[in-house]
Amino acid sequence: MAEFFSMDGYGGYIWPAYVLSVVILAGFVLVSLRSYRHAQKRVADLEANTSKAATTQG
Amino acid sequence: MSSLNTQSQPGLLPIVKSMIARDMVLSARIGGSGFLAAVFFIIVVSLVPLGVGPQPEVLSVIASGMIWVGVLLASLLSLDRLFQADFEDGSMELFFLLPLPLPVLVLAKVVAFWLTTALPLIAVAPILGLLLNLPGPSFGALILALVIGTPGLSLIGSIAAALTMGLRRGGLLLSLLSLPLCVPILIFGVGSIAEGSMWNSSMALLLATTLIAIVVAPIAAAGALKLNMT
Amino acid sequence: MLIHANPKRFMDLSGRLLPYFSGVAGFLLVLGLYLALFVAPKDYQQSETVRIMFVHVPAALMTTFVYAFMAVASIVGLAWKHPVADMAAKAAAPIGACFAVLMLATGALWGQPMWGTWWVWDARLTSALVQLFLYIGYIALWEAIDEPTRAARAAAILAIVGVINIPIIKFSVEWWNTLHQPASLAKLDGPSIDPSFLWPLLIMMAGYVMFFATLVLLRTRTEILNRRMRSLHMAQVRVGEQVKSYG
Repeated sequence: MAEFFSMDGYGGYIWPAYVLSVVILAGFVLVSLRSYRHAQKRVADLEANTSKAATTQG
Repeated sequence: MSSLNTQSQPGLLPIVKSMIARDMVLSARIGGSGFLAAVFFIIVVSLVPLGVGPQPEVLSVIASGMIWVGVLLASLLSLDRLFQADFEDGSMELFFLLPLPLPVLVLAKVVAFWLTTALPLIAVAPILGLLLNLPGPSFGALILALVIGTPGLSLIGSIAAALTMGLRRGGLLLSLLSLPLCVPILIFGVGSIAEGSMWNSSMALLLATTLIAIVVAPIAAAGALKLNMT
Repeated sequence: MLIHANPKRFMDLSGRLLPYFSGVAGFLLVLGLYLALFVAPKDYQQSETVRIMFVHVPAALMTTFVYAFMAVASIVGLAWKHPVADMAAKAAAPIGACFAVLMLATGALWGQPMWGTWWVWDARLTSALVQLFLYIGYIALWEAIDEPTRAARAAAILAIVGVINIPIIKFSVEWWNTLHQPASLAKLDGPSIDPSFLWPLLIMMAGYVMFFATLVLLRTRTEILNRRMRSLHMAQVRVGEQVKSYG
């Protein structure tokens, strides 16, 4: 196991490369998902609002 | 629009000529933006020995690169005004009424810009070459490379200038947009001086890059201008 | 009418595709990581460091691929005034910038054991750096213009000019590299002949492409929702003004 992590002594380069790739890509997914959810919620709120406004006005 | 253009096709050249003359007179009256650019260029390049040390051998190696970077920065700083000034005082709206295809208008503006701003830079470049201990045989190549390359820089810059016309903080954005696009000209420009002969393969590639810019830039800049005027 | 029909159709279609895309992307990436870390042998020359290739080369590929995608979307957006294409181009740019950063970071981590320094002005690293600058400029231009359709057209012009320039940049950087370093450095490239390296690499590449496709769909959806939000907001303001003027 320790041998696997040391990667012939190159673990200090290989693991950061993999960790960085996973962290950046996963982080990007999380950020995108969050702004998607946020937009979804805002649109739903606004749509509910406009239909309300339309009914009160009519 | 297009029918108007074809009707007055014979009158194209006089309009272009007077456009260029107008821009040159304007730039001379305002106090010579070209002069300021040249002074900026001299100051930037003079700072280099202060940064890297005065050893003549070191300076002669980096001379051509520093001169090119200086030219790039100096022309970028002046490009800010290429369309912006006409946009602010309303002349751009009048230009749109001219029976002149927009790409031709862009070309005319760029020619005037090159004459007023790039030419002074080329004129002081040999003096800076002396200051930076540029090898003697390289002077001819330096001038030729600048003459071939600076139109390309101005053309690429004109795209960014048109895209950022009328924007807040347009000047900063202009540099951000055009610097990466100018990389090939910088590389071929410096390369053609390093090769040690007057006409070489880097010089040919530099010319090719400028020629591509002549084809692409006026169309792209015209599209951007039209967009920013509506 | 057409302008409204398009985003709606896209929302329906992308909503149905998204689960499949994300599933395939996740599967390929996990499989690729497994193959890259556990199955692929070590290289006789580069030893274990060759494993960095499996995250570096796909990121390098995507750096260019995403820009090409943006340019195609921009052409479609400009020529056919297709709003979804505009939004897809906008949605893709940050992903491309992300890949460029990854390409540079993993390149540095590979460079240190191979060249003994973190950064060498190697042709491929340098042109990725320039491409990162192009991405940043593209994103900055979008941010600088408030009105979405105007921003889309300006950004599209920039993307098309950029895509014409990228081959010239790549060529010039390679040219510059051969002038200054006459082939003394090993390239950051895998021994692509051996199938034991090729398969993990291809699967990782496919995983990255599917990852990009998934994220572009998601981010384009976000963009459409944001525009809808904008127009709803404006409609509300207008209704508010009308109510006020009646009162």
